[in-house]
Amino acid sequence: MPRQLHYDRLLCLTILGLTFFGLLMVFSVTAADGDPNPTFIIKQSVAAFIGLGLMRFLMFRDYHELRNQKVVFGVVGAAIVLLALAFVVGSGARTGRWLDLGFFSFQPSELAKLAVIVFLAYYLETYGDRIDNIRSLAGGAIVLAAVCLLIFGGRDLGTAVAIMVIAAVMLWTAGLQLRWFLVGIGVAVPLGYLATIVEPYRVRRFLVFLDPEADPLGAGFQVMQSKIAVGSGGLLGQGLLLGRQKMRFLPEAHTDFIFGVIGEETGLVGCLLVVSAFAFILWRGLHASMRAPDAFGRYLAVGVTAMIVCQAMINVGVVLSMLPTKGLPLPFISYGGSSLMMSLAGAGLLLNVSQHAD
Amino acid sequence: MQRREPVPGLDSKARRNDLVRLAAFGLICSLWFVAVAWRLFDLQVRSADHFLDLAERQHVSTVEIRAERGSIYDRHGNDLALSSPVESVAVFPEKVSDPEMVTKVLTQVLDVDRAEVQGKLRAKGFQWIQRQIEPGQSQRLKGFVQQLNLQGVHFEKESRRYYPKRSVAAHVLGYVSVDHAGQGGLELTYEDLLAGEPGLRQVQYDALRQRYDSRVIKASRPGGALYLTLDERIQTLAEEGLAKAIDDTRAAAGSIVVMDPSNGDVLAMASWPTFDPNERPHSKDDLDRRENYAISHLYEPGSTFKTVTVSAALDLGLTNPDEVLDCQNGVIYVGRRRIRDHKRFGLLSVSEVIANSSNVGAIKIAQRLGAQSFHEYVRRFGFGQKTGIELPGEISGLVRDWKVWRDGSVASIAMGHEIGVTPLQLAQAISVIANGGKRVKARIVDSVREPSGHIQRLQPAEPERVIRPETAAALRAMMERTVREGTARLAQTSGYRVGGKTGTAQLVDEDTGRYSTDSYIASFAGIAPINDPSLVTVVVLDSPVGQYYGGQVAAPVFPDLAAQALRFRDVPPTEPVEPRKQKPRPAPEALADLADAPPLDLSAKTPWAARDGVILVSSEAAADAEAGDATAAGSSAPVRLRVTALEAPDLHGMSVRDAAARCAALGLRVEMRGVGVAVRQTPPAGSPLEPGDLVRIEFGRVLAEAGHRR
Repeated sequence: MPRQLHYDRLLCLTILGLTFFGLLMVFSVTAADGDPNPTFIIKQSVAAFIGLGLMRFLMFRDYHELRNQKVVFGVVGAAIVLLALAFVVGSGARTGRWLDLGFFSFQPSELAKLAVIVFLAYYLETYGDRIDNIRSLAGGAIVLAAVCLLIFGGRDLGTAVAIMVIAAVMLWTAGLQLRWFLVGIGVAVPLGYLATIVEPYRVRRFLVFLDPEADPLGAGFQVMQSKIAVGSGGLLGQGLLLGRQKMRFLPEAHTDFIFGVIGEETGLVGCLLVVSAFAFILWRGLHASMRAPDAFGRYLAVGVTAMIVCQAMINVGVVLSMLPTKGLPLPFISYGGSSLMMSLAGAGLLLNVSQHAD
Repeated sequence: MQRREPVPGLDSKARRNDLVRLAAFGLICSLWFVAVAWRLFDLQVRSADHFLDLAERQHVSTVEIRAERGSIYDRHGNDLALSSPVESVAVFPEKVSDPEMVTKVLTQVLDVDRAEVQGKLRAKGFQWIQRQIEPGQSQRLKGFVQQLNLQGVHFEKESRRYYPKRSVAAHVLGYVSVDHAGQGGLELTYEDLLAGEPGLRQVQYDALRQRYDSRVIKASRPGGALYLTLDERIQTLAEEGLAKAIDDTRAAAGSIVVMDPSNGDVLAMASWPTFDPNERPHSKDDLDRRENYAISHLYEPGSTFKTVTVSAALDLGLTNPDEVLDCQNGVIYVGRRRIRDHKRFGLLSVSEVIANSSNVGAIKIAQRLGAQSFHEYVRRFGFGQKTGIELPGEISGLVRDWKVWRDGSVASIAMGHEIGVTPLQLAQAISVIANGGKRVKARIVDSVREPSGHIQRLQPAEPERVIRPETAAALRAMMERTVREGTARLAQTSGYRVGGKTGTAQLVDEDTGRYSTDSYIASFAGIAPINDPSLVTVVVLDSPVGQYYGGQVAAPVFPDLAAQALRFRDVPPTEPVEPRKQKPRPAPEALADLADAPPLDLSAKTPWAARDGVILVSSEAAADAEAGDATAAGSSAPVRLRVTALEAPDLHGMSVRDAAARCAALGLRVEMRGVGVAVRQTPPAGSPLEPGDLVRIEFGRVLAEAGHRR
């Protein structure tokens, strides 16, 4: 008689907690005083609802159903096609990274993250023992490069970087030798340099990161305002909904800089709780990965963990100006339906794997 | 721990390696989390105050709420100055749900451009539509907004200072600056009371400096109100009378003060040039017009001052009204100065000295007084010190101490020279005579309504005895006689017995320090009714053109003003009222004996003179040194300028005003035609003439013709 499986309840609660806290913060930024706009919180709630449904669906199916060539290539293929579609007919004012679905605009790059994780998990399981062979690496590298280029073509450097970081963590876990990472860094640094200098705003962001006070009203505005938001929160914060930096001082307060609003409204206590939540996800994610019954599950778990935790770390680092500005959402919390749904879907996979960990 | 069958890809060696690598990843992430925690501690605990300060500075500002400024009323409660709350209209475009209707309503009610409104509705954040709209507009607009339930239209309360009677009492009221601060007159004196206490409002701004929230943290406290002693009707009469006199005489400036002699209440105080306090001053000239001539302008009073001279002598028993003095054919020598009357008076009683304004008689009376007691009376009448009226810019006048008086000073002061007074001081001094010898303090604010609502009456000061009642009565009789048969005959008032005294003083030419030969101050001081004084009136006209004797130009202002004002004060006529008819203005010849206090020796170097606060005291040496070329005409004996025959002056190129003044100074009559500068004259310059001869002058525009400038 098969043993009753239990998913990681604390991990699940943490994810639910972050999601509801995220809804609260999105409400605070977009619907509190100033010029309230209820569409944001409505859209985000719908996304959360769908996302939670996806999470539940993926939690209780056997994840081995994914370990199937047709499914894996189907998912990756769909992601690439959608990315390409967005690149060609994409909507959105300044980027070709959105697909307009009427009520929602879908961001295929979010789907691509998850697709790459599933693909790499399958790929690494298949080629696990031959991973340092260049010929076996090539297939994965080509898929990865295609996805990243399409995303980068949509001028979304942040997501491209995130995918590469996720891939690196998965490859590292699978035992890829250190020299390949050195080669990767050798390739990435000049590429990153090129990617930076072709877009003047990226140069500005980088310079501002080095010296935020140099241009407080121009490019340094966001960095400075973000620090003011977090700093003025103090120990206990100004109180939920009572932040003032969201009154057009802090740009992107509802998306990439929502952690600044959290800092202002909930103070050090709230910030540490949020950071601890992600640290907890890291711990439980790695735990699930280590105890996974098979390589596919292990890589799947570490991939999802890296997706959530690395994005959170980069996002928080940017808000606290420990890193140069990059467009990455804070998983579960930032406004953005695609990101929320895919994060919750990923969490479903992680919880699924976690069932085998206790 | 595998509970399932072994799965491909997870042999034990690889598994161990994987665990190490996963742990390494975990460790790196943990280090980053520690760094983040440290950074949070740094920002939110160690630098919290700094960032809080930065945040506060960009989010919040505290703005003042202006308190409603208190009103100013006349003695009957008529509005003279009031602040009415007005509203300004703004929109918050983000809140506007029906831009089309809002545009329609705004353009219909306000004087705004359709395109402009549409532009503002497309903009972001708070936008002014129109500031300080009329109350009627506010009401209509609010009606529309309410009925149509329009969102995003905002009314901001503001306040505007109105002087509903425009220039009436302008100099007394003063005016306010753009930011509502008192700038002159009572607005300045009572700034603290009128302004009230401003409140505070805390405003929250977003990054585009658009306010999204504001709340009152301290309510404003409206200012108190002033009730004046002024009577708006009498004030208006005085201003109209002054304006007409200025028009008739082409005087440069002037003033009329009407006072209740029993308590010092100023019933009217008019000054010219005047202004509309609703307008803001734009130039220095505009600002000059705001000077209150009645209290800020120093002049030598001339013969009106003889009332003080005679009062002093009578009061000390040094003479009596019926004592007859030898006026020496109108000439007296004081030291080396020769002072003359305008007529060769023989024997005159003291009463007649006043009625005919004899210089010789006044000097003889003053000489009995001596410097010290004369000075004491001058001071007791209130000269040389501020009246203390509640208006800014009052000057104290000029009365030198008797110890520094020169030989001729008593004589000069007897005639109202060598002394500087203001019209208000003179009104106060004449009130002593009207009030039975007691001096009352001039006052213009009757009561004050504190912000709390409490009304406090400012008590008139206790009257101070200056002269005995009998002296005052004697003076009133003399003044009545002056009006009945003396130099002030044009002040006769239908229906009332009135008294008065005229004065004509030469102005000092500030360039030369001499008494001017063509600029005078004509004045008149009157009491009505003389048998039971209800008001004292002082009329001063500065630099009239043409006729310049007080009896000719200042006295005629009095009758209409006095008769009307008495009616307003419910003083019934005691004499038969003549049918009101426009008396033709008598020809100058007929008025020749209205000449009071004729000039000192023309073009003589003045030993002492005051004008506009400047004391001109030339040293004897300088006077002597300059005596040689004292007149441009080449007269070698300037002190003996007793003109019997004269030459026609060269008037070419002069303005109407200058030409008329020059002729008047020489005693010539003029007939003028045209505008511009003098281009032709008959007889031509240099022709021999007698005083009183007629000069015809034609004026026109001359284009750059340099040949004939004098």
